Amino acid sequence: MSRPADAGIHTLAAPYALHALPEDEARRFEAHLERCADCRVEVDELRETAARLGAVTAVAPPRRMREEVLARVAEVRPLPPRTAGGPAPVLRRWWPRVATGLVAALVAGIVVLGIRLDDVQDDLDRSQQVGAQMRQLVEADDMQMIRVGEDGASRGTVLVARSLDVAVFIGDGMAPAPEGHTYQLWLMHEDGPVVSAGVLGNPPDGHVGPVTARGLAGVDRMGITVEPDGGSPQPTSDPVMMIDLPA
Amino acid sequence: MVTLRSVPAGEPEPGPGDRLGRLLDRCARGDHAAFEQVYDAMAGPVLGIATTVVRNRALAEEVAQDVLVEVWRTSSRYQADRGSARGWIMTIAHRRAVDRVRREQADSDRDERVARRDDERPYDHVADEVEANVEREQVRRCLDSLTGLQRESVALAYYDGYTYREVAQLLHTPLGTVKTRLRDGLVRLRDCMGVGR
Repeated sequence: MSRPADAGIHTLAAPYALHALPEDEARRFEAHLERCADCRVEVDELRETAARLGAVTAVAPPRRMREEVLARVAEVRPLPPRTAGGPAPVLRRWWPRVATGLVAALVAGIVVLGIRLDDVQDDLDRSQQVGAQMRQLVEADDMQMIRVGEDGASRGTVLVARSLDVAVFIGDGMAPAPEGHTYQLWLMHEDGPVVSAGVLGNPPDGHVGPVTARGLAGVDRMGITVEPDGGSPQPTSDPVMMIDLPA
Repeated sequence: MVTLRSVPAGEPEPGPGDRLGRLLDRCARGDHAAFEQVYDAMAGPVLGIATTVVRNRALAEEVAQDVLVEVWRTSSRYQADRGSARGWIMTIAHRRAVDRVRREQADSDRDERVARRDDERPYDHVADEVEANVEREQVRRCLDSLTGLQRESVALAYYDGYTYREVAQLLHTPLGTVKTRLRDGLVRLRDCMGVGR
């Protein structure tokens, strides 16, 4: 049935279902799951089994917790369903484990900044340019995500890793710029200078990026302005979006 | 008080699971009343597994809150064909708890946890705190049907959040043996509990 090369990896279904695999092995097993339907069924069943072990540990939560959770939920919009033809397969392979690692590293930040991992994933899903560079960025130890404009029409997401000196901007829901104009991305230094990080164009679907910016030393904000076609050496209008970068 | 219901063998998705799945469906459409029902059904088990794995009550509560908000937020991602809604929620809860305890591990004293484990058998300890009910009895009976080594391996991995490599070290057992025990133990539990299709 299974080829000898796969025989070993099948035995990882149980530790995987128990979340008992170290990161790197979980990653390899997930790659294997992609092409092993039997393994997926086994993992589902073993997870269901583990869930029974978990359910019997139930304790009565404090009343206060209910109020706190309901208050938090009141401020969160559920994610839209995944739609057919959604994420690129390449993304599927690496995202789950990355997300797990990020959760481990960034839970506090996620809560404080209101960063929504799956929203970011959706942004990434929409972009068709997720490559090795993005993967490296997302896996960087100091990678952080900043989202702005959650409530408005236009939303921006920045993934930044100072260790790699890279920030990636993804914009969504951008209103069309006036005719003959374009959006332009700027890196703003804390001591004043503003440097262009590139012209973003004037996309009809309002989706911009991902756009990679390098040279982040001394940069504490990114900004987006509307400029005449072809861009400007320095901003000529007030920013339509500003993003504070973490130190 | 949280009430757990009995789960007849051979029914992978019992009534409450179906009900939860339908509630999740409504959550995905932004129905807060549905979420309150999900909360009332699952806050106890979620906090329970978080407390069991993380140990620290305050941290466990943080984890449980995050999990429950996550359930609301990702409710559209629940796939009924891959298992019960309760299983899906408990999987999220366990993964979050394990992530948390591994992260804490960097700054806390792991040895202390190991030492405490000796006089604190996870599943007995847990059983003491849980309201008597049919499902608990079933789980206990099924755990009892395992060999001691299978039970210990599964408990260290699931209730204590150790990786199978750590389990192997704790039990002074080769890796391959631990993998086999985890698999045999879990498969036996699956069959005993009637999980499957």
